[in-house]
Amino acid sequence: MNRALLHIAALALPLLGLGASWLTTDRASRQGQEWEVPVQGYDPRDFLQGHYVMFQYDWPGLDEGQLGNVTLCLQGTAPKIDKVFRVSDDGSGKPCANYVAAVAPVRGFPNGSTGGRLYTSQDLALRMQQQLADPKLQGVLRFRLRPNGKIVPLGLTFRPRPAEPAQP
Amino acid sequence: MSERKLRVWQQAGLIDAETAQAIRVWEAENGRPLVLWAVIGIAVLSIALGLISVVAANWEDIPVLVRLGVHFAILAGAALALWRLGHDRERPWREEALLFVFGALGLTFFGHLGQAYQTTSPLWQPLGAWLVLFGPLFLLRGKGAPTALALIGVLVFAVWDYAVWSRSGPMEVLRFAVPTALPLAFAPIGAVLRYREGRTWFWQRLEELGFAYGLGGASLLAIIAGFERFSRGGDSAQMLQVILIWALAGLVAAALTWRARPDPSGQAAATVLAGAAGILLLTWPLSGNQVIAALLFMALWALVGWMALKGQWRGVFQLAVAVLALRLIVLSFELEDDLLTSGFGLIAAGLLILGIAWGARWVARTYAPPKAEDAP
Repeated sequence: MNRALLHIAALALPLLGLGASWLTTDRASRQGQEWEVPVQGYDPRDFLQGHYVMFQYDWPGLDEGQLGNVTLCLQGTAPKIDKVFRVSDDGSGKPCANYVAAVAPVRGFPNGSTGGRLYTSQDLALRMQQQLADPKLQGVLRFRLRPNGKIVPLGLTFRPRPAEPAQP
Repeated sequence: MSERKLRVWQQAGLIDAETAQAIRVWEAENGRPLVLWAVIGIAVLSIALGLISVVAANWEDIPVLVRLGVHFAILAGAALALWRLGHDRERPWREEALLFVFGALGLTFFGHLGQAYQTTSPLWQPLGAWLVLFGPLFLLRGKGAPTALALIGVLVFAVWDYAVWSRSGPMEVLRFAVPTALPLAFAPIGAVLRYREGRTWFWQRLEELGFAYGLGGASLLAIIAGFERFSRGGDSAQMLQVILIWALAGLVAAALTWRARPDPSGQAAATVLAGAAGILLLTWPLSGNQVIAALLFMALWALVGWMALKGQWRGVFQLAVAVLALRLIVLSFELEDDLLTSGFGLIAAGLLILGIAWGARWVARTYAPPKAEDAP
């Protein structure tokens, strides 16, 4: 085998592979619709790990007890979610038009339909951590729901939290 | 080479001035610049870590496309530099350092992509992709320990992360045991290629690292066997299958190494690998007992010591003696819990440690083979 040819191939392979990976990631990031969902800090002691914040979704219409890594269907017109209900997913095709896929849970950080993380700069992550801990503020995550049911977080904004109904 | 030693020998009349000068010239031309290699290794590692930090710092102000574009352009520049450098026989460390930085840049590119597009994936996926993309180049142009370590390090991380991630589902035993046995393959691969290819230094490192992975794995399992009983409980059958696959991999690696290197050192390395496979097989029925597990561990390292004598590996022999002595000391504490509580117990323990340490030192010095170039 021609050694120079082999050498060129070995040198080109990383560049081509990384470039292809970049292209497919970029293309995938443009698919799907943008939605908004209220979030809360994942763990009151530790939202911030490295340069990302972790959060849990507060799906409208779902009780806390129903949380868990399950397949969910979103109803409404993007970006506003009207209602969310859980569906049983047998893994064969799409359960509904806008669905969030369940994934195997990972200890230590929320994933799938329970929550996620948003990479950001160190300063911004620190500020978001304080805002997530502030009871007067409600975090709202803008995300892109890809056709394969995966959530891609886009940004985190904060608005004043609506008054809680009085506890009986 | 020590200049001081040369002068002492010359003064003692062992060598004359001409010989001393000839030795100096020969060493300057043929000696391996170990200090230089170490300094370059540290520098390159620090550059790689710096790259990771810079990517992780996530400059908010720079658009994603620009960031990734610059990263990719640096990668392309490194590839071009590697192409133009060619096989540099005069200064192999330049090529080695550049190759290492190129690999580090590639690995951080995956992290950079995930950060920029907010995607997450299990660690084994980018590591596996890196091995596919950069592995051929590293195998083709690696010159020394840094690239060999990078290859094996990434492989070990990738296979264990994969094994932990895929612990359930169909063929779980195969998906756990086969990938985790893969790093062992570098032992016979290095053994075969060190004679065929010019880069003995690189292949030898790869062979040693594959050998160390097998020996370390068997030692670790022998330690775990002291407090865990593999043959009992719900997953005992799976454990047996895993051990059988690992042992088979060890035996195959031993046989291939034996065939590739019929010299005493190669045969010794193959014997240790086969012995490690045998110890693995024994841990399944014999696990759950501290003394027996310690005996298995010490049997393995006694074999390592014996084979180090046959293979003339001085450093490995001394390591084996030290490991055996340490295991003995730990065992004495495991067996006699109240040694530490009573005064006599303390004195006895101290004397025991001194005795074992003295004995081990004596054995290591007296019987150690002379320094040889050829480690396993």
